[in-house]
Amino acid sequence: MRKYAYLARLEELLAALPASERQEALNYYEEYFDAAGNEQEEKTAEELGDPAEVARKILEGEGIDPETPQETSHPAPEEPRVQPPVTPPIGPEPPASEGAEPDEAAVPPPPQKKPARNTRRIWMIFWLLVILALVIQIGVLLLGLRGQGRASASMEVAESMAVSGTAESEPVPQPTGNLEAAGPVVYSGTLDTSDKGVLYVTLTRGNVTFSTGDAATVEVRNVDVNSTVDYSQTVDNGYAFVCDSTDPDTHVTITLPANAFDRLEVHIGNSGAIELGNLQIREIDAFTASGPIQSGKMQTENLNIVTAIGNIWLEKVSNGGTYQVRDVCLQAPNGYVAANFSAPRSEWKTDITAPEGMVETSEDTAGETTKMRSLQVVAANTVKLQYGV
Amino acid sequence: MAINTGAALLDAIVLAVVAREEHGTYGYKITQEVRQVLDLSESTLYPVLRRLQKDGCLTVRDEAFNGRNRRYYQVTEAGRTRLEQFRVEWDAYTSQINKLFKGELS
Repeated sequence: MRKYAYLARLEELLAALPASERQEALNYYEEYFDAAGNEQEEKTAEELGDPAEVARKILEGEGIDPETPQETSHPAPEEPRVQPPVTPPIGPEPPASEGAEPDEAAVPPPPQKKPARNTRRIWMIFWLLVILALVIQIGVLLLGLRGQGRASASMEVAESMAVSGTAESEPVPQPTGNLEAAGPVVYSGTLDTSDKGVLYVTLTRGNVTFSTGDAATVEVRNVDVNSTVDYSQTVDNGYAFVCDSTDPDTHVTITLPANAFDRLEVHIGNSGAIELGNLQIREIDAFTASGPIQSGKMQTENLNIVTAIGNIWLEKVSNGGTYQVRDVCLQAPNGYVAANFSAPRSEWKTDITAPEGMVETSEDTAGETTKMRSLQVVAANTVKLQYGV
Repeated sequence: MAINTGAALLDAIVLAVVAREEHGTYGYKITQEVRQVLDLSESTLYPVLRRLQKDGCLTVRDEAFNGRNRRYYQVTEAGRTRLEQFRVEWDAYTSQINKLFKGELS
């Protein structure tokens, strides 16, 4: 799990704490991740252990009985949901995502209150099993795709045409019994980025992860039986990717080269998390009706991020090669906003609504006064902004 | 190890580690140093640091480090007194137990 995913999860689990104390704890763990090193995020998360356990200790320390909130928010059934993001082989992961692997049922859930060393060993074995299962699944899948490869290869040849990938593939449509096989990729395709334009990504339910890479590709996992996955050209030279799966574990992974599109619009109508990764796209628009939105180091000009219920964490927003950050709008009317910007504080014209207060830190060097950038933030909880990073 | 580290002992260990740094030290470093003498989970120390802070044994100050915030913990006079008391108790306690183990106590 990456730093921001870990912190977002921890924040959820600390909901019972007053905002200021919650913030103190989150600051401590954020700083801890930073001190351990940016390259070590996954490892640090693993060493810190299950956020649920960390949250329990903090709540106990603050004199809040963790049992009460835990009953509702975190107990056993959620356990597998929280952890899997650590394992999948595909880039950064959104917080609570990626459905339980079939094999997880076979592995006994790790005991909660054992001495640290034991717990760690059990977790290690547990993760090894999960990783092994994933590797096997991917292997089987790749073999399976070989067979269908002919079809998709010919689609790629006719590249100028929109690739219409209603490829829910053979195994899924079978109504019963086969749901477990839906864990691996059920759809994969290549995106045509030759005309740039707008990429629309529309989901009903599920998580979307963006990563950067040389080729523009899309992969879909865990769709429910009757869903359709479709990718087609829109009238205005854009492309629309639509997945109407209602399975909360639906997971869409999109890999894009830098500047592959002029604009990206992600829309999750019902619920799901969005991980924007290290995207480099001139305009980015992301919306989810419920769920966190986070990013790695993004380069963009216009950024509009809205989560109706959830938090926003942006590791860094900076200028791209040919564009300058202009307008940033972050709205989490029921959550928390944390973001870091490369541009110094003095360059921003800000409009911030944060009833629970704001933490602004800045490495400003005095002198620059041109307010060339605009930043709008709406949040219910604390807003934490850092400039000039 | 079958011997548990109680809250009081953990407090004292953390105080001893922090007290070594005249100008204070930060969470990650404290954790790594405590872990050199004691096998404990990396996440255990936050509540301990909070507790010591509330009890007036530690003070904190925030400093920028690499463009980010870093919180430094420093032992107060009260913290040093607490640590000294603990050292005295610890000597008495361990010497008795040592004698018992070595069969010097009748």
